[in-house]
Amino acid sequence: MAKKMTRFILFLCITSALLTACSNAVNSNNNSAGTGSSGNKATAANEVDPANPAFSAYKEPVTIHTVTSEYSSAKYPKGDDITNNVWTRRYKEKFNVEVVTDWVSDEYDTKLNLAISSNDLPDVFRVNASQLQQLIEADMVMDLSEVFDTYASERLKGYMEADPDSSESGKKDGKLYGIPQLHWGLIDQPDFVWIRNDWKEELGIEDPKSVDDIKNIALKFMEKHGGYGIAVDQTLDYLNLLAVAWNAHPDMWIEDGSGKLVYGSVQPEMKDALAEWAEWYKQGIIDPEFPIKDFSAMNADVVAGKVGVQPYFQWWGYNPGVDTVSNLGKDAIFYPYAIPSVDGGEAKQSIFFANGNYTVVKKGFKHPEAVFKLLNDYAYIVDEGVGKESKETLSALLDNDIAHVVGAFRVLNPNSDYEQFEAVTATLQSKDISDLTTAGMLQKYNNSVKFMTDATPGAVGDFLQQGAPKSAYGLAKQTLDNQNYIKTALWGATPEALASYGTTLDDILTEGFTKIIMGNENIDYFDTVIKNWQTAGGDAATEAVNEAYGK
Amino acid sequence: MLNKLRQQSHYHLMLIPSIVLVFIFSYIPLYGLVIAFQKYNPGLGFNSPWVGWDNFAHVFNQPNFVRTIWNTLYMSVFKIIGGIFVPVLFALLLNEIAHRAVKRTFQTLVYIPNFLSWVIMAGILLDILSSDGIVNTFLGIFGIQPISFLGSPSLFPWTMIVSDIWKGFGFGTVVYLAALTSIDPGLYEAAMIDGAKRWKQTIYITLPLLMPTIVLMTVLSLGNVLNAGFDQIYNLYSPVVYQSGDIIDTYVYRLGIQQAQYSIGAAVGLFKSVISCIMVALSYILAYRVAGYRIF
Repeated sequence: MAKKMTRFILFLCITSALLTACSNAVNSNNNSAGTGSSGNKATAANEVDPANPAFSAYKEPVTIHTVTSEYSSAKYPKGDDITNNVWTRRYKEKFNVEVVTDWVSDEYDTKLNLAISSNDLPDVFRVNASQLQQLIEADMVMDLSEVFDTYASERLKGYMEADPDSSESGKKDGKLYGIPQLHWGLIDQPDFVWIRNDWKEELGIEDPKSVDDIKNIALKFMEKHGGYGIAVDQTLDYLNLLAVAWNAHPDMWIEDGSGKLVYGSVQPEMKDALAEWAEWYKQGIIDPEFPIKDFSAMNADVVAGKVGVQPYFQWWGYNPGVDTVSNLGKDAIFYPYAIPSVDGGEAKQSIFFANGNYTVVKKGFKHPEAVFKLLNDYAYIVDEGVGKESKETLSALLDNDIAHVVGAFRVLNPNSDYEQFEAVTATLQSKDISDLTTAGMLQKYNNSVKFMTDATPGAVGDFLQQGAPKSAYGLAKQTLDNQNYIKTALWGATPEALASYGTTLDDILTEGFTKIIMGNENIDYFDTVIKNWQTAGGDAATEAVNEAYGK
Repeated sequence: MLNKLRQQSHYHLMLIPSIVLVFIFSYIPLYGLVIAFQKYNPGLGFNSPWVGWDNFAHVFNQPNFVRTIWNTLYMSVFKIIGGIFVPVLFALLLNEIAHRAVKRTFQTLVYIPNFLSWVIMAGILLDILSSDGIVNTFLGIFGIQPISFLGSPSLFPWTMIVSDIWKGFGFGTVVYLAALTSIDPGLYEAAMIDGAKRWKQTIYITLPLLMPTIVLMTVLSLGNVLNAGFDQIYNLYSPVVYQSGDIIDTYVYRLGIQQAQYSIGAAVGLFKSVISCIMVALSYILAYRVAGYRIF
């Protein structure tokens, strides 16, 4: 009954929003046409320093309406919140720009979809790839190409050049509609097999050099400590990280030999991986209860010390690392090892499309250049602030996750993690902290030192990511430097025909693969699973992807 | 007729606010169903391009969709049947308890799970049904190997059915207990004088008088025949039990809602509403024709 009621209320909310949408849509679309470009000239007169448009303040105040999502881990000084904080005051003081937040929501995407459908858009806001496509299609967002050329700082332009794939994804027909917010860098993408260090040392085991080594380490751990060998979960997302060992690239669209795009999960290499995993399951190496374990249940076993091998992303140290150290002590940390290939050497990693969000400007907004000023400033503070701004200013702007409360007004440096790792490594050698030019570098360095000296559980994440002798980024940097990876062919928004299947296509694979691993079906069932996938829409989706990318 | 209307005019006046509200909030939004026939783009709103039955075709052409309909019907039918018998039986037993405090205690105890959300219940169930959970530990005493209640495709639907009935039967029990108290005690006295024992009294007095409530509850629950319990299953299922545990709602959730495919969601919603509407109408007619009860 209660469920029916909530559904009913939800339905009401959506439909009433839709209803207002259709009544407003006609009016505002007419008003907004063609005001974008005429605004530029008017603003030039309003600049304090027209020679330096990227950082010049306004003479007359400019107001920007925006919306944002809650950022719960940010700790504000007393009296501040996400709508009124050190950043918004800075916008006002430095640029004479007033940023007004119309609403804040935990359900940002849903609420924004409603705002889009009721044509009740703020001036500047953050969208995801599919929202960007819809907005461009509906002609509701502004072409920012010219404004970008005039007002973006050299640093901001450099970001875009550093990741041309992402910046291309914000364009349509060569025009820039969405400014990609970018990411910390591809260095955070390679995956590893994490192995519990105290057990490994206790048994005097060598670093894994082959897939068989991983299996044998798991078996030795089981012999000595009981439990099972390798922690994975029901989505197979974690077990799949090992698939690159067999040259399989699950979940990624890749080019096959003939230049066509194909889906990595359904390639014959995957069959080899599954055959081996089924063998592992039979020997009890893979968690016998994995089919009903979700992410947190999987990690709970790691924290409880039931298992010593886990295929995982680079952020193992943050979760479950922190809990593992709190619960089992600092010696129980896991170290990352490169995933070996069955052909010998290190496996080729999978690199996915990394940009999730775009900043867009509503069509008709008079001051699109103001957005770039704020973005320029954000990039300046994050990348150049150390040394040029006072410590207190920087700390107020960046620490305690205040750096992430800026919603639409944020673009990340796609090389930041890479540069950060290099600086942190160098400083750990030299002990000269003057080389640490960003606040992020300083934090990672300090935490790494803190873990090495005091074994503080909260610092283990940064330590294992960057500061440890065997760190995740140390391995990832080698992968990037040697270009030992395959990039996804799917840059940008998912083609509609593929999105219309939701996750159901992947579900068919996960269900079938799980049965193979558990031994409910033998390995030849793989071909049946693939056939099911194809008829369920896999073939149609493949066609759509090839068409979208002109193959 | 008109005279009658005038006599009852104050009742009709009192009805107006709710009729207006129902009209605004339940009938006008029905217009939103048009997006089931559109390729909906939030930016274009109701001006999105029309696609006819394409959204329905897309869903029904999914090879796994038939399986989800079967799973939905399988689980919901047993849940409905169990949801009728268990509370009736329990209410009858509870009614025989003479001690007031004991009766109330049991009534409250079985009603409590009803108030917990499935998110919490799922956490509890995952724990007690795991291989080293309380249930399997208990079975282990008798030398039974751990049973994977949530990971075995053959057991999963029954785990859902039984746990759903267990969680929900307190509510039905309270309804039937209320119906039981309204039975005229004079009937029992008369039956006792005629020499009817407890069992006979139950068969010939209690059950027939309880029948209207049972029929009402059944008809109401038949409207839910395509809802096999999204909250419950979504929180408890996993890829390995999709073959027997995936229902329409969870399937559509993965197909459309996660990716904000409004049109597909609306199409399936419309389909379910039409079926539910037919089921309610059908059960109303059946109740009248077969059992001779008029509900409304």
